[in-house]
Amino acid sequence: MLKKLGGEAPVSFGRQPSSPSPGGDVSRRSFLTMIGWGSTSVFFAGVLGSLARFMWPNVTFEPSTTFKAGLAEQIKDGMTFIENKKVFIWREGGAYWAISAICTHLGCTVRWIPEANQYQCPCHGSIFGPEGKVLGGPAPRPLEWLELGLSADGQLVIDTEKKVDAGKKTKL
Amino acid sequence: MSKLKELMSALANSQFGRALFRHGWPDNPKDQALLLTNDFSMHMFPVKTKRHGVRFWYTWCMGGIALSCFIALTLTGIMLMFYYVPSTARAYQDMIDLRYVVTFGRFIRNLHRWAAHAMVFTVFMHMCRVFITGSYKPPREMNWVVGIVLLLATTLLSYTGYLLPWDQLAYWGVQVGTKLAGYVPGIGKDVSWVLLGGKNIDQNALLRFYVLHTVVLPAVLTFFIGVHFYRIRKDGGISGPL
Repeated sequence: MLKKLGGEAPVSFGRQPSSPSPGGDVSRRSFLTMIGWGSTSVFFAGVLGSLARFMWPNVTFEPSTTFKAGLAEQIKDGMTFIENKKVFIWREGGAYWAISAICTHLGCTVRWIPEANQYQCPCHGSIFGPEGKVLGGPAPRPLEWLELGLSADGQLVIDTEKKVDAGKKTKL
Repeated sequence: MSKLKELMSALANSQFGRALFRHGWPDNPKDQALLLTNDFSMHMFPVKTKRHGVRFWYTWCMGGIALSCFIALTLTGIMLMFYYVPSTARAYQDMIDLRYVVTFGRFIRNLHRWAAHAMVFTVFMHMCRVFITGSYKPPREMNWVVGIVLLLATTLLSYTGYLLPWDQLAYWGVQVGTKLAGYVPGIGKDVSWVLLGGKNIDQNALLRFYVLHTVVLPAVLTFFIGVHFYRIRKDGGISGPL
């Protein structure tokens, strides 16, 4: 342990102010030291911040989340699975609805098992009812229902980013 | 014979020779001892070691095996980089080619794969040994923390390497892993976005995992391995028996 010498400032080189500055007890030396370290810290924080920001892409070349799923009238009754978009399209006469196949647990693709009348996830065994309700397994939320519309040329249009309330069937 | 000795002595006393053998050609017991104790590697290894430290059942040699795995992984990894292209169009085919087309490709790839499994295992067993022998206690607390960083870097290397074969196992493994990261409160979505370079596991994600796996994480690991070994000497060599 260093012994304090009667409350005096620690020994340092260079000129010392003969009396404390009028504004308070911050000496010129420690003020300049603070300015020096402060500006150096700001500089490096800026550098690190820019480097971190660089890692966040502004533009990605991912496929559009909106897609056309074929002529609405040609969609068969029951379930149609759009594999590359991971969407189940259901039709019951004039009523259409779309359910996302992305498991709400950790993002695997669920399968429709007609014999069991339920969706099952191959990764961790989550089970969902035909309306997407969680019946078992670790899934925290029901499967998402997706917005479904009709294009000018009579095709079903689905956006995998736009969710709708569960049970909202579209009459076309 | 004396001609050969003269030649060796002349070589050893040349400028080049003096750079290698600082005490001259080691033809007497004293210089031979100096050759060993002044060796460059003694910057890393202690000149003396405790008797119990070389006993196999004290250390299980787990740290040393982990380092050997890392050296093997670096060498085989560089070999694999000559054939593997981190693009979604080629990655899987390059991995298959390494197995079926490239001579010794399957051997090198499997060395890389098994050394990776072995490294994760030995790093874990090394930590168990350090815990059981109480070697994390003062003055070695800092080296325990450095060890945690090394465990983390090893795990991340293992995880980033998992995506590179670009097969079903890799894809879904990383899908699950980045979704897990997404559950972190507050910053989760940003973490998975910056890891994948987008929303989906696509070209950006493959390239990012490749750069992390082949450049960033090995550099971090190498740096902290250096700190780890330096701290062993600074903390007085290997810990004593309980």
